[in-house]
Amino acid sequence: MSEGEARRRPDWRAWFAPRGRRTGMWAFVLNRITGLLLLAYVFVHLAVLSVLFQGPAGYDRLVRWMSSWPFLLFDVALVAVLLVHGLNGVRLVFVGLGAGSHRQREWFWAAMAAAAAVFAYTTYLILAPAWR
Amino acid sequence: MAEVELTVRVLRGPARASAAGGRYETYTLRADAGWSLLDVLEALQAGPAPDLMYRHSCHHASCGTCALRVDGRERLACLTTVGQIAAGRLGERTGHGKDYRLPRGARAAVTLEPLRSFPVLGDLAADFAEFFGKLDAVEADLVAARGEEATHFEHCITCGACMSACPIVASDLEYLGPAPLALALRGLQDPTKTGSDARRLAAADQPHGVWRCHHVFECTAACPAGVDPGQALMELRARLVRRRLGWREGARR
Repeated sequence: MSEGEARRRPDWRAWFAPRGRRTGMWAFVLNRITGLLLLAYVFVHLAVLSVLFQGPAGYDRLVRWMSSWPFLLFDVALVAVLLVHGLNGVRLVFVGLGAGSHRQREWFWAAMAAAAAVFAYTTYLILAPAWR
Repeated sequence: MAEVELTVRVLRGPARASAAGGRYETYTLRADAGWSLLDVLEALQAGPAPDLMYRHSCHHASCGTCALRVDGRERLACLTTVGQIAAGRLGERTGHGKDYRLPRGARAAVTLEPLRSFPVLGDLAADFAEFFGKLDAVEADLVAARGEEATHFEHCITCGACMSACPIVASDLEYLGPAPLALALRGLQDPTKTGSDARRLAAADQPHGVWRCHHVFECTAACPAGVDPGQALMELRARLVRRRLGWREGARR
């Protein structure tokens, strides 16, 4: 085969191949994964809300369901995914406009620190009433 | 310099559309810690793998020909030393001139693969035809800029390391990629005004241009020449946004 004859094909595995990579790549992988999880959640959300079509009995069941431990833990996980994706997204908006792109690594860790702080407080708000 | 028992795992295979599809072959040799990876490849070629294909030319990081992946990271073979590998210091630009104080009888293992997102001519030799075509699209001017507007982007040796490190270049075949876009900006900044700025801006301001970048910044991390293609892309974006908004170029706001 002479030079230029081999045509490569799109390789999506590169999106999830952080071996030997650095913070920016890990942030990218994290954003892809949390993005896909949020996309999946939209469908779960609509499926759960469809219980309301069953009238008042359905509503009561939904509230009972939403107050259960598995659902509350699901909510906590959802908050974590939302915070990671959202705050990293804010970082990307600024970095993408050239603001602080030299410090993109530090911005990532700052976003994750903020996510952790908000996550801790939100987890308390979600789980504390059920604990009592 | 200490001698190292080096186990080299090489992804080998005939000409193909990408690095995938090859097979790993393992060789063991005794190498001086001061050897570069090019020395290692030459020793393999002179010994157990006489048909091993790889690219090289200048041996001193000027030509950008010998880029490959070393344990998953894009590196110039000429800058990477056996001692550096044995010490686990692949994050450093070069191992030359450094004494890693390796113990007697040190052993190390390393995996060598061709650049990602390049067709392969054979073994470790990447096919640069597509990449060079993208450089042509932005009229990459490789003549060093003169005058006070000189930038560091002309340091680019078009080794392809940034292209291999970028996950978007892998998934979007039409994406121009970090080096061509950095060189587009360098062309726009060129005080000698060689080439067409309109053509450079048109190439950058399209769906497979600067807007395709996902801010991974592996291009900047991988660059062996100290160019910062990630920053160049962001500057190019800012320039295009200002242009769209009708702001005067160079005006401070």
